[in-house]
Amino acid sequence: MTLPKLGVRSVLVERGGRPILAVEELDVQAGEVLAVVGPNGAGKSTLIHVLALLERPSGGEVLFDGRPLRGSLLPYRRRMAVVFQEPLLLDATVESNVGSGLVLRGVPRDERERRVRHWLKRFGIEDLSGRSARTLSGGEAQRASLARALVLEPEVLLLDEPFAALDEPTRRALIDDLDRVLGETDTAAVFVTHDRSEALRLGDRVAVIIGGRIRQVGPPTQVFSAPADEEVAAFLGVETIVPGYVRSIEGGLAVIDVSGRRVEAAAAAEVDGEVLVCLRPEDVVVSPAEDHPGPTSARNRLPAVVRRVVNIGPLARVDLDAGFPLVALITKQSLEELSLDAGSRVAASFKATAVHLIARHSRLHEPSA
Amino acid sequence: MELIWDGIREAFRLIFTGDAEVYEITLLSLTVSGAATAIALVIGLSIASVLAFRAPPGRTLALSFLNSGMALPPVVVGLVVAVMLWRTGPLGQLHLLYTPAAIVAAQAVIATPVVTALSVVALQTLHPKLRLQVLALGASRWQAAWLLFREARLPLIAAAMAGFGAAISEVGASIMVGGNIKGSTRTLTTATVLEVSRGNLESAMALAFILLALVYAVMLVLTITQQRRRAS
Amino acid sequence: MVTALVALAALWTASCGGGNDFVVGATTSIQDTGLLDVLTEAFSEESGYDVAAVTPIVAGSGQILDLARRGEVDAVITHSPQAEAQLIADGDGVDRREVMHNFYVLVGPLDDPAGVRSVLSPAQALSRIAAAESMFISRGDNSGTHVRELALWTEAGIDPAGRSWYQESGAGQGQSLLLASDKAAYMLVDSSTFTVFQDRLELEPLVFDEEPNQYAFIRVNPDKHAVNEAAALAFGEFLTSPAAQRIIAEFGSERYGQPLFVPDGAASDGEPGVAPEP
Repeated sequence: MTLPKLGVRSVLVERGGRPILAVEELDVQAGEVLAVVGPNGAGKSTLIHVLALLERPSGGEVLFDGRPLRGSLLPYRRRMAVVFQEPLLLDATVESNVGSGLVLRGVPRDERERRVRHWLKRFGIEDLSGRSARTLSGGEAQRASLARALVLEPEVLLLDEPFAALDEPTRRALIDDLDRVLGETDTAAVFVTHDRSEALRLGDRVAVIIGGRIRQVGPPTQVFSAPADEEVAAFLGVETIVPGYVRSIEGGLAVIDVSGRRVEAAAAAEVDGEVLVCLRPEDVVVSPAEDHPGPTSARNRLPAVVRRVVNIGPLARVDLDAGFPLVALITKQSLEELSLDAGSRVAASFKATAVHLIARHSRLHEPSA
Repeated sequence: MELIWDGIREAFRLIFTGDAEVYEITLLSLTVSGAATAIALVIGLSIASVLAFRAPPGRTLALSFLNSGMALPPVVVGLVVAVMLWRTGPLGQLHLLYTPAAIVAAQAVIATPVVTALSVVALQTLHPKLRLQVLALGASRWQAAWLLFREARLPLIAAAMAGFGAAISEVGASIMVGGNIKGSTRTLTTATVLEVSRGNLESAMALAFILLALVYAVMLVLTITQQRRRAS
Repeated sequence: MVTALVALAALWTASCGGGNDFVVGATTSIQDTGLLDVLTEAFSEESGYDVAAVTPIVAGSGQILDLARRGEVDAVITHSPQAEAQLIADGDGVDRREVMHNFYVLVGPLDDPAGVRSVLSPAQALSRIAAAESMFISRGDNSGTHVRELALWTEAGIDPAGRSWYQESGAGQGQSLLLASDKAAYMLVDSSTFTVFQDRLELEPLVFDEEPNQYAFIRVNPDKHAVNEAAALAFGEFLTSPAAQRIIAEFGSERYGQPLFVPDGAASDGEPGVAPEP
């Protein structure tokens, strides 16, 4: 097993005597994207600052290539790049901004211009190269910030909620671009966000951080469908997230193989190959197994067994096994009327339109976790 | 009113006939105040960086002192510096009293609070996270300071201009620590005062205009630098 | 660019003169007439001492003598006999030499509202001014002129302090004259300064003081303070030498039709107020 590119051990950060970040162990491998999710104030930004060597923790250490840091921090900082939520560009042209990190490292002008041009094009902003950074829109500026980071060909890329301030279409476009770029390089990336879907989309592994501590680390499917504790569950919102394979797609309807079962999903865009199948608990209808209903608009009706029932106030969460883990949310009344309990046989129904598909691009290296 | 016109005419005459003494005085004013401003910038920017970027406890208190320093009466500064430089004073061994170096020191003391206080505010106009971003791009601490100063060049150059203005326009301290000695510590301002006390009001007015012209020339260069836009 | 400027300035200040190797305290009246510049230049040429080495610090007599007491000057040229006597008595000053003199004169507005023109003594004139409550400008700065003025008020038996017509200017001699002229007020001034400023003023000389206004050179005591004894001696010698006395005798004749000062080179017996006839 290769040594992790970047990691922390026993890190403790205190502000005013109170601990705001306490992480025993966290690693990121080369070529991997580690998504760090958590609510506001959870310590995500502090974690980025510590990883970026911008803030010295009160205790613990940062490991680079599995080894403790030695000597000046500057050479390590120069092997990393950081993108913050605000673009934080300088008052200069876009081209000058994107090249600023290279200038700091003393890269000769020809090489610098070549690399800057390449990355401006890569993020689709080569037309803006001579413009003043102050005149850019939010999305354009954030593209420039990303280009500025990636032109450095960093071994580690740290992103602190880079898309939080952007509108939806811009955000989606940028996530696509970033996803593709990260897939092409060997860079180890840590992507911090409070948005679950972003973490789901980009993360090879997801770390959940609440109250300054890491509560769970694992592949997104596991973290989202099997939260480690109630707080994680409350933040993430449990739902069904399972891997599947697209068998066919015709007329906007995709047939997906999920652990041997057939799931139909309405797919607007072209999907192919491996996907994540996501289903919100409130979209799953539970009915007695013996019922034989007539044709309904719910194209999916799967036999399932109740694994667990969890009461949440006036509602109840029902964990089902339909050949794959399936989560349903029903009212207490329904729970009682159906007399559901562990082991009960039921039928789980949901519409094709309720299924949300996430395409998964393969990465250069498969994460080891 | 006639006096003002006579003064302007006399000023042109002095400049274009290449009056050696006037040139000497003008050059001295420029170098002395320039050096004082340079010193004030070095000290001021260093302190301002710490106060603005590290935000240490007691920053507000320190700033209140600096802001008061902007209103220090130059004559008071001159008196204190003179006493320090007296033969019997703590720095008497340096033999600096009545030399241009003493004027530089006094003017630097006057200009430094101005430059520092305005530089702190100038640096505070930057985005609070910009410094982190610059460091994260791989800047050393010096590189980061340089980049951030460049970002804040508009208000920082204004601070420099204010410091220079304070230094070159003052006369009380310059007389007290310099002695207004012909040929060595006589500056434009001290020469003007001398001419007034001698009743040579046209000469005084002429020197005043030359001083204004000098100040304008310097400020013109600084303003152009400040307002230069980098890209469209 | 900034560092270059600092370096340039450092070189300049190093090459420039000045410095406090030899500091002479001189009163404003000597400076305002322009005589001081002439004397110090002539001294450097003659003696070989660097021009810059002679650093004249011009201030009122009170300030000059205070600097002498501290040993911050090597010698002084003042015109305040009682203060000078005190300086010598206290052991701070030695080797007093009388250099030159002029006369105090009471000047006033052309229409002479207090009617002092016919009066013989300045003290009497002051009484009339007080009686008429005409405006009077005082130096108010412990200078030689101010001290003489106060002595005259005492002689007249009047205390003008706080009266509305008695104004203290706190400025140098020339500027005080301009002020007096502007306010059409009376004032005591030394004859040289008045001559230099006369055509800018709307004031007339009204009463001359019999007592000469004596300018003396005193060295600060080298036994009591760390001073440049050699340079001070040389300067003192120079001021009482025929060469300097000739300069003094001729100073101002070309421009004002009469010399501004009367040289006293011969007298140096340490007694204030003793002067040969001009």
